[in-house]
Amino acid sequence: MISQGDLLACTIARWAATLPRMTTFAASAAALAGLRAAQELRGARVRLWGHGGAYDPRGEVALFERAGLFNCAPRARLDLPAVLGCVSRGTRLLATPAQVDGAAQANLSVIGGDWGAPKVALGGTRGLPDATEIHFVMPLHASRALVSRVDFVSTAASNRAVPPWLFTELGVLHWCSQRQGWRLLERHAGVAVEQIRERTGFPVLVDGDVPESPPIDEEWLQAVERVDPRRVRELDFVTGPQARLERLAQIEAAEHAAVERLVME
Amino acid sequence: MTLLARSDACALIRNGMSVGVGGFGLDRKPMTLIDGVIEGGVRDLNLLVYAGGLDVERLVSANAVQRIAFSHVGLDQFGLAPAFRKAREAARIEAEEWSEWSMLVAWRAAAERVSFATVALDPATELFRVNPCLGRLRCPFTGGEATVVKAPKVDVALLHAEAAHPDGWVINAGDEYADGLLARAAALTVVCAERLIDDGELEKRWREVQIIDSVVDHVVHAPGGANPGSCLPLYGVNSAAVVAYLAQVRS
Repeated sequence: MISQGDLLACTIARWAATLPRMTTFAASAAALAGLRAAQELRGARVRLWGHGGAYDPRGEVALFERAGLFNCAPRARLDLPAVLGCVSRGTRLLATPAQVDGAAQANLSVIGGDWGAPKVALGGTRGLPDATEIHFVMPLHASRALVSRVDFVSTAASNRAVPPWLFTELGVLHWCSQRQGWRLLERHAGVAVEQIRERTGFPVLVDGDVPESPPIDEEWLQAVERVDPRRVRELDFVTGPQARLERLAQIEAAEHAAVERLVME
Repeated sequence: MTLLARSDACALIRNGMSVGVGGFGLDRKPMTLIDGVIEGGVRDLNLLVYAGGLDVERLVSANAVQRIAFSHVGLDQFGLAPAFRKAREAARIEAEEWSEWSMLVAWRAAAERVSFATVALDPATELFRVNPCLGRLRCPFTGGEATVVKAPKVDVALLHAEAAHPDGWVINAGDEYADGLLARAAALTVVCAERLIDDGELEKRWREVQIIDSVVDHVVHAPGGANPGSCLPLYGVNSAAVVAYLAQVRS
């Protein structure tokens, strides 16, 4: 049984396999699992930041025990300012903002109301306007996140040299610079184009028969499982604060146990 | 350079000061100093955080903050920061939102004692509209448009470290984040350390020194001082405390 997390991670892994070398940040667990799988299986040259000075580590996806589980076999020690300081060579961001719109603009600042007194205050724009390349990973495909116009423009991904990609639970879209719109490239197995249109708040460009995504290869699935054995990727699809906290508690217990096993070995 | 008691260090923070807090998200926040500042009843702080977490939550909950400059405030895997969020939504605090890189460049300008610096930033971002510290200038060399950031005034930097020598040499096995930059930008820097090290250990670990003594004014010895946040790789986040905090806010 292929889960939503498996599908998203494998889709990203397939895409990431041939990306040019660049420091790459991932905001979601499924995206990170996909990037790590692409490194493991195809030698993808994405370089990850280990959140502890460990640059290009090769460990497992982790939330609570990053130091012990993720920061394994890094290639360099490089603190965050130094990583961001490589502006001349760029950074690639697989972002999960609160909103993405039909002009490839993204919002991680506020929803509704006045910016100084918003209806919902989000955490802040972070590195969205800084990244050289921006792609979007929006696990839950919904019109409240894929909107006609963002409430605040944290960044416009369409003005980057590399057109952005958009990955969701339903399919894969790619920014078409010529037509200034999101073009549907793939729909996942069993998903209809109409379903995607209904759950998207902006017009989707559809050219002819949009193919279904290729079946998930067992090889990719195993690679994703290897780099994310505790299935942190499924957290991207958990909704509701209580359910999320419960899932986090399970992940934390599993990570502690994994570290203990490593110590015993 | 002096070794200070926690209470003496916290007494350095006065109403209306610009206070920069180091660390990143839930990691290596000087929580014991933050609590001390709150106990002192300080008000109207101009807070500067690169990535705020429980530090911001506690200061905002205590009504100690008038204005906050940030690129992000959140509780990492635990989600949005509820006190920060409520205060923003009710306009109880003034916000100054930055991107990560532009904030670092502004802090670097402050560290270099220049009034502004140029930065590469997406020209389409609405941060230009809401943050008066971001602007545009004509480049005197190319004639093109340059994005500039205003250097902040930082009265005090509060940092947490894995270890420090009483003279102010600071060591972290984990990421430096923007702590070194903040120490250099501030007029006064206080470092709270899990452990004090002697000359012998400093001689052995000199390659790991991230902040030098010339930009550190005071050291406070505080084992577990980042709790309930983490001090990686020494200890992780106290999840039970974070979950209890979220439950308390919700109720």
